[in-house]
Amino acid sequence: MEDVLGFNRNKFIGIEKIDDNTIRVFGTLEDNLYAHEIEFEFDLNELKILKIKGHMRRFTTPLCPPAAELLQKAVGMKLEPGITSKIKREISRPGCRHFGNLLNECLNSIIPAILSNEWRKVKEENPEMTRTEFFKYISEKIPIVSDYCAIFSEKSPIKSNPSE
Amino acid sequence: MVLFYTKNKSVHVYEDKNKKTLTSRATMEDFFFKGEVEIEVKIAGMEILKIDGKIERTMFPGYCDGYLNKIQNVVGLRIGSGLTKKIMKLVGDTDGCNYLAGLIMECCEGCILALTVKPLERAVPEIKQMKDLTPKKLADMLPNMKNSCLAFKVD
Repeated sequence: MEDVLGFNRNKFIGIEKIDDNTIRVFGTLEDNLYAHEIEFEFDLNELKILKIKGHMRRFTTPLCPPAAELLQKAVGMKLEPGITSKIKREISRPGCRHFGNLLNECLNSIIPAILSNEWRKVKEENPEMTRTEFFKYISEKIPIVSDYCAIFSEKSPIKSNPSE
Repeated sequence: MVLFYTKNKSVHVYEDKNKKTLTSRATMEDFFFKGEVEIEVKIAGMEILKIDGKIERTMFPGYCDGYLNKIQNVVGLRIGSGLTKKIMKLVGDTDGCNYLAGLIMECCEGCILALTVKPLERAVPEIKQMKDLTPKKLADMLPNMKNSCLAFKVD
């Protein structure tokens, strides 16, 4: 391996609660070529983007900044199967690939964020709760988690190990 | 306001001394997970030659780790159109680990961008001086980026 770095990209996602039904998501991306920021509000009941804004701090051509306007196409988009492709189709290719990448990174963080919030809450109320109990609780309360990964799916290995 | 969830993800890409391969390493940490994936890619053809990964922390230890061997399924894939769907099918979705799939995607995106840095470094000073800049002029300078985004939209 060469001992010098050819490229580096860093992304940071942060999520805060506005109220019980709404969160605010911050995304920043910085690499050798670009520095982008987005911020949006997200409805947890309807699982959709309510409003969004974005800013290019650093970019490569003077034709890049107008692409930030295309982020408005995300308003009303729902977190559901096919959302990644939809963002690529409607925001990345006609606008900016890096805004699309960052928005997808933000949306991919929403279910883990919901899970981490619920995990903290249940562990505070019931520190003895097991992983299996949490799994059952969260699968019933937020059915969309079953689409997230193998662990939360219908075929989850946790289901067949009730002692956990 | 205090953030109740944070995620950090980074990718580092190195070009081998022989200029024939790239090594791309992506790492990620959030509330549930800390892990890393490293791929080696042949520049000619952008084929994934090998992959390695590790999960250092997870909410479900003993379960998530079981999906780590699935990353080997991407060896032989070429970085190009349709890659996201292929990686999700082979490593992620409801039959795998989306964190690991995301790290592989990050490695691949890093390889593409690493190969874009040098041409852009050469072109950007000229672009800044150009009058009546159009997407067509940009696409003529950097043909690989034609129709990739608004700035290079020709068709």
